[in-house]
Amino acid sequence: MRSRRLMKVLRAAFLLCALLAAAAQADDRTEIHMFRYAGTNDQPAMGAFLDFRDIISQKLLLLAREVTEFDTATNRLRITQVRDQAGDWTAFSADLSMLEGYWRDHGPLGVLLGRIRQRSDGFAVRSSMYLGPLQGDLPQAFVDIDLPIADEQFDTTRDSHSVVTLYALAIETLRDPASAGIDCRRRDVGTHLLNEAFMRAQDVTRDLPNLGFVQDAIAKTLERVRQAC
Amino acid sequence: MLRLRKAACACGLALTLAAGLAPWRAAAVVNPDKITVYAPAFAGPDALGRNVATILQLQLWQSFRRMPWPDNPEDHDFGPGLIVWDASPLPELDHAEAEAAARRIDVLAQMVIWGRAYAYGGGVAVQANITLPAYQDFREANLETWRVELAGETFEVDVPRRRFEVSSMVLDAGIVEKYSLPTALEIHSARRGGEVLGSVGSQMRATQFEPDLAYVRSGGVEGGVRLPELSRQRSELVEVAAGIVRVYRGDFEGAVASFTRVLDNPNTRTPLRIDALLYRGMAKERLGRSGREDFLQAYALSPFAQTTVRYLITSDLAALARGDLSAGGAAEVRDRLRSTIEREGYLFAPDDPWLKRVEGIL
Repeated sequence: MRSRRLMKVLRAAFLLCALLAAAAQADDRTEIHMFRYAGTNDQPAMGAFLDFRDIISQKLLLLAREVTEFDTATNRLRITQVRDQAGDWTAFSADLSMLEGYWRDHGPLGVLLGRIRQRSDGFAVRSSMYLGPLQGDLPQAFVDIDLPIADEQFDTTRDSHSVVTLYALAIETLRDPASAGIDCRRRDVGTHLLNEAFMRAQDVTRDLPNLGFVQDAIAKTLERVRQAC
Repeated sequence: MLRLRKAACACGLALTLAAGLAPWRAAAVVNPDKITVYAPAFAGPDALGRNVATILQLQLWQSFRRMPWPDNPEDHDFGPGLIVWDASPLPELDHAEAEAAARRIDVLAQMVIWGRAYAYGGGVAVQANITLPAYQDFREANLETWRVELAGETFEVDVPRRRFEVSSMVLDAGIVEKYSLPTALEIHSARRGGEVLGSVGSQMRATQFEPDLAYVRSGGVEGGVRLPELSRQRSELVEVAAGIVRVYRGDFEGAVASFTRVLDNPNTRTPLRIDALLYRGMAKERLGRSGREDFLQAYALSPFAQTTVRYLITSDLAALARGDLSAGGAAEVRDRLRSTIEREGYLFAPDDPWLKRVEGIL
């Protein structure tokens, strides 16, 4: 009799844990939604854009595996292409002020928009990552990254997108929805992600000095964690 | 699967890495374990990924040494080293896949080097990754773990990271053109000029090496494979891998030399620079010297990392254990430890057991 009651309690507890885990998974923002960049209407520009997409998509998948010792949610970090009803990869055509609504309704970690430009020596990309309320200590919700699509820029291209992604992941990990402050219970995970971002940001700032504000924001957030926790 | 075995005597040929000039004498290191590197071909267009990986693995193999040379007054024996080379890339390019491959009973590797050649921006960039799997690999010594005994407690620090990438290598156009051919790795009868005896096939055994040349047997012929510079900028891949293998083998002097070259390379990116400082400092500590200067440099680059703080703390614990103390003595080191924990404790989980044990002995 007692053991049957114990089994019931255990089953109920198991069910509750499973529901909580599912809810936690549903809440995790681990996808970067990527719209088709402008300027990709001809074949060479589209080819350059697809090469660019491939290297940052592969990098974010690997990045997830590099930092997952601490957090299994980041295992699902990936770039997904935003498609229209016909299944075609779509460009973002609405007013940029609509992005916050998109971010809230569709649950991405960040949104990637941008433009490919032809230059005399090849193609260049302007990539804008929108983080919405995960901007943390960044001065604005958009981070613009300007780079030539060139083999010498391989590391900088991947690292710059990794830094912004890691920062958004850290803010997502640390934010306490109840108080709008910092959730100190996850400080070890959050500071780990921030440090991973900070290490890479030093190289990115050296190569792209105009992104120095990202490194400053990371340091500012870490200081806030130190003070709060 | 190909196997490169390095005979201990081959170390003597041209290795210039012996750095045994320090004035102190360390205790003999006797490593009972074989350290294995699993090296699948890199993914990439045509034969390029496979050939690039082969050149890199032969360059790594050149760094293996079983004992210091030409003199070995301490009688060190770093144990056998082996590179298990695979002509196919990993089925999926992923750290978890690399760990699974390492755990196979016919491999049992401590390091996996894998990667991919990407066509990008009109050129080819090669991205290499290193995975250091943690699993029951039947070794006895686990020399990569830094252990400090103090006040009846044992404090352990693991390697800085187990999954990471190194800077990409942008290949010269000539290298891409030449090494995209399956027969590009020619076996020559002489170091310069001479006859082309054949090319490296699906099976190969490496026998000896000289700078920029590896002697191999493959496809029934034996001769030298020339090892070119692959990229416009020097990659730190081979030196990083060599340094880590040396730590695993207990060749700490060799590790200091390898990581110094990693740190001297202006192309080394910051995360790997931090790792190199931590490894080099740890290797110095294992040789009975202080590695604190290296740990402080790592801390300057990465002041928010739990790993860096662990190394700094362990350095102080080691100083207490060695009795190698500054003018202020043990009290000063203990004060510094308390201050580090107070300042950096927020980087740890509130109930971190390692940190609690350190606090317990202060």
